[in-house]
Amino acid sequence: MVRTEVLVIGGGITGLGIARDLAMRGIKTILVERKDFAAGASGGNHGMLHSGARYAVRDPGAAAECAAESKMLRHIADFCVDDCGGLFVSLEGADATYEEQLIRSTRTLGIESAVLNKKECLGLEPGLSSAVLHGLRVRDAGVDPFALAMANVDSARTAGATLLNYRCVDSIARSRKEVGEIIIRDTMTREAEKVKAEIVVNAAGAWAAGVASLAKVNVPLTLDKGSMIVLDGRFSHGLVNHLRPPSDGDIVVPSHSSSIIGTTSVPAHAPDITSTSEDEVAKLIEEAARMIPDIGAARAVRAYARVRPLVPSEDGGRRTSRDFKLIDHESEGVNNLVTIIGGKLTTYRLMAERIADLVARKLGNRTLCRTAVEPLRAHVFMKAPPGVTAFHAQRMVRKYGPLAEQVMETCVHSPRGTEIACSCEQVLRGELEHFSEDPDVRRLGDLGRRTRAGLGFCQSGGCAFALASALMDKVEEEPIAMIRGFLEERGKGVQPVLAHGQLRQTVFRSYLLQGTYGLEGGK
Amino acid sequence: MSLAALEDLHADVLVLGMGASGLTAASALAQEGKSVMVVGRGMSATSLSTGCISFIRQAELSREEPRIDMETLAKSVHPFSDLIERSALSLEDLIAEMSAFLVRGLADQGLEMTDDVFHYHRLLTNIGSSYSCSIAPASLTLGSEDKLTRDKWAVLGLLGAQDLDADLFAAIVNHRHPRIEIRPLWIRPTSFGSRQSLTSLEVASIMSSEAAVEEVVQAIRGIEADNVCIPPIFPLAKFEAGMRKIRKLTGKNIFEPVTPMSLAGMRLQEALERLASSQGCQLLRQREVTALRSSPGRVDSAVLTTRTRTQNVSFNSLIVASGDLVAGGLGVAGAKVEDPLQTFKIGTFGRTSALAASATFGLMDVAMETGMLVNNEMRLMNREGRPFANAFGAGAVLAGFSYPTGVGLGGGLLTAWVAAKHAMEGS
Amino acid sequence: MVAAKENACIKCGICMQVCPVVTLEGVASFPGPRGVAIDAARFGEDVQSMRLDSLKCTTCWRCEDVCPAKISLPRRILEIRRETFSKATLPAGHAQVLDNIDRYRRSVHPEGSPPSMKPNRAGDLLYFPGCIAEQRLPAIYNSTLDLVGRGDRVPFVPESWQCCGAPLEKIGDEQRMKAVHEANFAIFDKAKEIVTSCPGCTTHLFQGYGLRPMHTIEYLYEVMGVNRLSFLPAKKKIRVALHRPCHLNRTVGPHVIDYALEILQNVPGVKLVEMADPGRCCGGGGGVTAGHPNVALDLAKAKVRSALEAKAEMIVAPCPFCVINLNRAGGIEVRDFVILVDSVLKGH
Repeated sequence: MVRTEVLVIGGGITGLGIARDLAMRGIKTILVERKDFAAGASGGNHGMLHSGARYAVRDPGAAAECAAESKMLRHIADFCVDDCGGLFVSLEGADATYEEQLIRSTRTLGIESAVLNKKECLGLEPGLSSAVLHGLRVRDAGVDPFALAMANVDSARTAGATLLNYRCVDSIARSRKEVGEIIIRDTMTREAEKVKAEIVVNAAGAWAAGVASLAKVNVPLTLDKGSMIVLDGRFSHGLVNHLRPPSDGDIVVPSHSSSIIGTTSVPAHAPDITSTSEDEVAKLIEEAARMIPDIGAARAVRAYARVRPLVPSEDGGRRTSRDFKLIDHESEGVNNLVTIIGGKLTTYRLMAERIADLVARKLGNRTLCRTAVEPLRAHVFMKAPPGVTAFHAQRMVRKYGPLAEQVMETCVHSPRGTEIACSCEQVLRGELEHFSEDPDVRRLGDLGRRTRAGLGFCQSGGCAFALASALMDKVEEEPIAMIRGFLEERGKGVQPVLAHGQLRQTVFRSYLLQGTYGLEGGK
Repeated sequence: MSLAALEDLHADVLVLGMGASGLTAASALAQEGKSVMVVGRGMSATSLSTGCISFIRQAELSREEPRIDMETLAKSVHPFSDLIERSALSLEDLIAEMSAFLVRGLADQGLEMTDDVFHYHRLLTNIGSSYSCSIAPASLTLGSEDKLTRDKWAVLGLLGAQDLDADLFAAIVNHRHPRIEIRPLWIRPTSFGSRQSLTSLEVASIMSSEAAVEEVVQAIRGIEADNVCIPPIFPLAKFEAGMRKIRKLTGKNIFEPVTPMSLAGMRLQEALERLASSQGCQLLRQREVTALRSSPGRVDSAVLTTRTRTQNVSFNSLIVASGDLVAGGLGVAGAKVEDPLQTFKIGTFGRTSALAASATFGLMDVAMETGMLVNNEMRLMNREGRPFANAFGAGAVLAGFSYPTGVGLGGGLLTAWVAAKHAMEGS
Repeated sequence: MVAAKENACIKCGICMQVCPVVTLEGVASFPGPRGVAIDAARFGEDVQSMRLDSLKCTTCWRCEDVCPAKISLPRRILEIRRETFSKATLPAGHAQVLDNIDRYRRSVHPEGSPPSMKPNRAGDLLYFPGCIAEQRLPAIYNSTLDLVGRGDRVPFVPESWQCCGAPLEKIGDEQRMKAVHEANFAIFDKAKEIVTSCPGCTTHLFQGYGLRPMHTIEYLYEVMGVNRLSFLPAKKKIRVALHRPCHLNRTVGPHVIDYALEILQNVPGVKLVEMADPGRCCGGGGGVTAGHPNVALDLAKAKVRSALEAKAEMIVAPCPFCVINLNRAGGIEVRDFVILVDSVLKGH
């Protein structure tokens, strides 16, 4: 039996932010996540730091929060933020009323905006369709959600929190007034552990209702699925939004050398839906191409989808507020359980702060929140040692920050450490070997996410073998099964968008793997 | 400002595509006295292959089945089922004929292949799974499955050479064949220096020195095992002699696990090119056919381009063996597979309708089964579905033959053989 | 910025296999066509740190030749050199080339003896000798004027020609390149036909100016019919290997090599032998002789080794850059094609 002050259930960005905030206030915290960190909506969103403009008209509360928090994140998380700006563009059939309302709302809410004429829009974004009428410039930014999540993990651990992945909640004991012993199970070894916490935080996102029912409390939740497509190539300097009431396919977000188009809003009946339909794919490409015509012939790399945990309202889907909600289950007679639902990636820190305030109050802890001022990651500079190019050293610094030096050590001292394991993302084998030692890394996907190996535009070819070769001694699973599982995961994302270059890529991959390596079973 | 077209060319047969299918058809025709030109651009998909030739999908092979199953082959190899029904040739005769030609021809070019082509020969792939094919370089065949249970085994990894990950190979073999234990051993050849991520040709270039091979020999000698797997290190010119030398100097059984995208495919490609040249074929490299001129029922001539000039080639017969989506013989626009020459009918194996982006079929499956349509004489059809009198198709460019959902390199070669037979009659 | 055709890459790695610099130096030294043009190019400003290594590409064009997706890899590499030029620290050799262009309008310093032939300064057939033929191998200049002059049209060399700009394209200095283009355009306007000695010039006039010059070999074969001449047999035969200059073979067209082989076959005293991989780059192109001279030398030495293995006694190379670079390696006689043919026709 392990005792702790706080148990956080859910390792999405909100849960991680909560664990960090609490730990920084000196509160003993354990966090459990049933898959790898950021497996839910946090790992499958649009990668946007909203200026707030998108919600200014219909969801001003959320809009104001986004505006304030995105400013803050630019400072504390600059390493994963691409401050490229955004542009709302007006196309034929534009809703003039909505446009006026938008401009007014941004002014009222203090969201920086500037109206641009057609020429100025095209000057800013030469890839825009000539059908663009005019635009509104805002301070949108791109963010790498997994990098943000992992930085929270590292920071929370530095502050003393215990964070465990691949742990699910099996049962939550209930007495009349509180939740008691919780059984946590390792999803891979099936070993169980008991945890007794003074306060339990339900930050399980789309799974929050399920966790709540384990504790026999009620959390009303609206589940809404959103799909996105990753395109190869950066089609715009900054974000491009369709200036109209929020609907499907409104946004193009540049992300490094890719562009992410999205999103859709489909009622979901379960929290773990991650598939994208043909119709969604067609819609997204069609809508994005209206703004940036070249997208019509782009190479789509993969599609992904996650379920949003929304605070229920009368209208569904798009109309549902993106605001967040804290639920103190004291109102249901349970003293030591709180839940947080709703919100957006952009406002995670604020959500975490609010919950942490509530929890700290319950615990009688008066330490102030510092997450708004403490940078998530220190800046580093690392020189390339002999045998490693400056380019690779720079990549490592960008990915790993303060950890880069240790990772480089592994590369330099391991006999195969400077082999290029993944050419799309230019990952060295030593990086794989380094993270294979990390106890969080239990599957090839975990290794891929931390190093970016296998996540590039070819969606993993030879690097699947390099990944398996690095990890195989550290885990139970047999190499071919690992490789097949990893490739199937990648394949699921590629299947809905097979066309153009990705179709040829996949035919080629099949040529090699099925026929020659004999990785039979599943295309 | 542009320059005049180069001098017109003429040949009895023009073959588009310088991969295994094209070169085999070309060699067969040249042997019968036809003047043959083969046009190719870039590097063929054959160069990326395992260098082995199989006749049935790997997934359909049971580990125990040693012989080619003619029935399965006939059923799955469209349009052979039609072809066999209507012609005097049995599939077995076709395979025997074609294989004899190839095995003899390749041996003449320095690549000894197995000649027992009706059996499947077991090989190990570089990630340890068993690979079965009928025509393989003689030096790679494992023989009976028994071999994997007796004797001691080891695998030599050359640090820096990526074609054979000795650790992964050993882990997988040990898992799949629990009765044996294969041990990995790594050396860093001094000739590699501090290099990492060496390409196959880089390895071959460095290993061309006697000293480098000697180092490998010494390392193998020090291994306590009768059977040793080594990465591919020899190009065609040195392959047979090199493997023989290593066996002789070490006294051990040496195997080169099957590795796609490395020297093995390039050896096969080079040997086939030499065979075609030796038969008198003219190999026109770095040229692409950009247009075909046809009259009703016939294709008359082709337009070739080099980088800066064009050239007309007239011919009596045409064989299109330009490969599938991978090598560029077919084009992809969106999810649609297209004929870049805009001359031939594209169809989907087993389905009469043209490709549609539908979830029902699974785009990937359809893409791999799409290609040019032929009748039972391997004559290509025009876009209205009528066969040309003098244009034939061969290999992975045909619907249903895209490797590996088709039947492997062997299937493509059979189509090349049949196309050549029919092209012979016409020209 | 907008996605280019590099998108079409299917990660087959063939380009890396055939790259002569990767094979000789390894990817840690030169990341290879895919490493620079496809992989590193994705990483925004990080690509600046790869600039120096990207200068090792000799622009031999073999990668583009073999790419199944038909990506123009060398073009992308040159684009990257251009994009990263303003923030770059130039190798001394490249800085020297720029200085030469500024001062002398030539990529090399004018030293040594100039060509002896005094050409016409006007006419229909413009002979563009190129910097190397004029300044380092004046025998090529002289032989070409002489040979071509025996045909129907008398070639002229314009008074104020400048370096064609190809070295500037390779260095990535777009500004200077555009300046020499402008100056040369005025000159080319006046010519009905252009003949060139250096395949680098031939290629650049085609790709950079949109003109269509002929290389001397094309002119000799197609216009003057040198291949149709018959010669008296020679008493002694020398074993000659024909090196295929990359900018002739791959960027002008393989037909030129066919022409060269046919002509050589008729030249008395020549016994043609083939080197292994005769199309492999000698290291002379891409600005590598100036930017990374050791890499250029390594490639030249490898080529000489191939020739000696084929028991050749002479390498004939129809390209002044190839001739200069191969001579740096030493160990075998290297002669320009036109000089050889001219001397035979003169009865030597």
